[in-house]
Amino acid sequence: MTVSELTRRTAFRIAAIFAILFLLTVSAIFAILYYKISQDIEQKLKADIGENRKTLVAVAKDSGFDALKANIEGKSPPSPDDEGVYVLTDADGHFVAGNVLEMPRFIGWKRLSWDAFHFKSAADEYAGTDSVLASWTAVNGGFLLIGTGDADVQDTQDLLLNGLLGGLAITLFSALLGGSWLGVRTQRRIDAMQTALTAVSRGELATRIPVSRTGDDLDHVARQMNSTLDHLQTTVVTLGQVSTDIAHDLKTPIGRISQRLSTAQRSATSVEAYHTAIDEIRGEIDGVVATFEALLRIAQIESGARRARFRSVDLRDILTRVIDAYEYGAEDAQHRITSRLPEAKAVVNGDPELLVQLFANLIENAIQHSPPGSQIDVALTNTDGMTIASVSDNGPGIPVAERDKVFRRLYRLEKSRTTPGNGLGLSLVSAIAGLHDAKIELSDNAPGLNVSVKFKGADLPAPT
Amino acid sequence: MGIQSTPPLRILVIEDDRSTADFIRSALSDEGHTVDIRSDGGEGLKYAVAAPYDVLIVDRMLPGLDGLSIVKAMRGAGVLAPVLFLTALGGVDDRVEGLEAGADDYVVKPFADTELIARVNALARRPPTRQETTVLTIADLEMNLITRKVRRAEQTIELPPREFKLLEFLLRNQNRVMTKTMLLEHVWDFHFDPKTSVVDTHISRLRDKVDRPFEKPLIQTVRGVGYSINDGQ
Repeated sequence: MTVSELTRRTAFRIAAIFAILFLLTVSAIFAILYYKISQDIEQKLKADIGENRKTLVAVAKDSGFDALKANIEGKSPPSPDDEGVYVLTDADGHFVAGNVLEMPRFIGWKRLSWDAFHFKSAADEYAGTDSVLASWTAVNGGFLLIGTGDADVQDTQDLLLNGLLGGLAITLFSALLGGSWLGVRTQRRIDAMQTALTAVSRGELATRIPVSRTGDDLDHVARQMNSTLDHLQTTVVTLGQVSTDIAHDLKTPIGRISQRLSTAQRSATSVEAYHTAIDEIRGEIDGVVATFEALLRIAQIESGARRARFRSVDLRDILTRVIDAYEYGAEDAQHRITSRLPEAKAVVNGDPELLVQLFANLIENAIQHSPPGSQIDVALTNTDGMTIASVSDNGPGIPVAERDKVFRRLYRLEKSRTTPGNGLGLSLVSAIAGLHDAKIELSDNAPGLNVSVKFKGADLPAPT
Repeated sequence: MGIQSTPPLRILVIEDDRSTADFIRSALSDEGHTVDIRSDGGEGLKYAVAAPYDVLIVDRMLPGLDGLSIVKAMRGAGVLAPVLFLTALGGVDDRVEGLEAGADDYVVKPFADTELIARVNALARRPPTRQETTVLTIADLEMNLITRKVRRAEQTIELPPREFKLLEFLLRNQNRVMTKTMLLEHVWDFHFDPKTSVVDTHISRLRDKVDRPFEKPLIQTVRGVGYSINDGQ
């Protein structure tokens, strides 16, 4: 990985941004601490000097200038143990006493360098590492300078600075370490996604993205991608299956047409014979056209454009119309159609024409695939905002293993290969149900098949 | 072919596919009709507006101007002639859109010549204004639309509602062949091709009641096409 590649990666950027933010935050906190603590210590120094001054002023006042002079003369020169600095002048500002030599007067607090002081002797020479905080004050008969080295302040400040630098180093280190750990980890997962997607685009449709157990957003994305891939795989497999099935389903009638034509050409001698051949061939072609019509219709329905024409439909009317149309057909096949429809309206939002076709297909299936003497039951229930329409028969049913496949285009159960039909009836049913957001369930009617279509009920208009 | 007798009609076909157009011309010419063919939408519209045709046959997909726009423009220009709309295979919405645009009927491609002829004849005979008929008769059969009673040779015949509707539709179009598709559309409002013989089973029940007990059958089967009710004259 090159540097520019590294800096482009999201994980690295996040780590870097966090490291910078941490550094800035830590620095700000230390700066405030540094300032506050320095001020505090300086205040304490000033207060100490103030106490000292109060005592010395009292000496001058109570015992006189000479007593103060004696006191000051008794002060030992500044040393690391006691960094106190004292200078006493008379009222005219002339040096009287001190543990250092004269010092010009100034007003208020001043920070003085040790270099600014003149010592009485070379032996007294002292230069604390730091500066001296001092101020002049008026005493009875003159002026007194009291000061003290601020080594405490400096020490504390040094400590703080060291702490700050150490803290910054640790923060930077942990931010970089954590950031790169997170970054590498995330990068690995993103790389795994890329690898999986590349494999899929190469045609390895079964490849899936590994999902960790953390359940974070990346896992969420991975799961979503996997479910999309599942869908894609099913679609691709189905598409392949459908084209094979179409080819197969076309081959058979076209083969028969071709044979019929050859036979007619070879052996038909009368106009009647030709007419018979033509009628047969037309029948085959009609079958092919019907297959295409159904395929195109399914595709159109699946496109969903039809939803624009949806309106409130009472399913009772739809079922009544369908039963009415097929009653005689069922009778002729020696079946009996019974229906159980509710008193109340069962309104769904839908396309009446397509809903009629849906139930017509289900009832036709029941009629065609049940042995004579079967009972076909059409029921409609309307509960909890769910409208369930079902068509059940006591025919041979569909084996559990085949139940998912029967909705596949052109799929036909082995045993129904001989009965008329193109294997598109249930695909059409499934497409129409899908358009209406309805669910289809196939279940065992013991014996026979029960097909339930579950609609989400439309909002019923308030009864007037 | 001559599956029924109809006075010659002037028919305009707006269809760009040569083979379909030739097929239509041949089928309708055999019936004695005069057929003009235009392959361009815009040109077809000019013809439709300029000349008085008895029936117009308009394809849904056309170069220049599509079928829906032609029908709308034609109706806008005051052309009242009935329009038969040709829709594509699997065009679920084409029928509704065609009828909404002002077409009177539709037929899905590919269609049989018999289907086309039956529909054109039905359209041409459609009365300009629907007369309020209360009694439909043929030979000795009489249907009262008010009392909903059917009588033949002085005998009352009880018919379930759907058979009543079927007989009514045949009577309204008597002496004309109604294809199974036409019957499915008008009597059942089914716009798809059922696998089971919905029409045949009902015709058979209707015959049991209307024809079988009497000497002369009125409902005729036109093989491979459909049914018609006629008095045999």
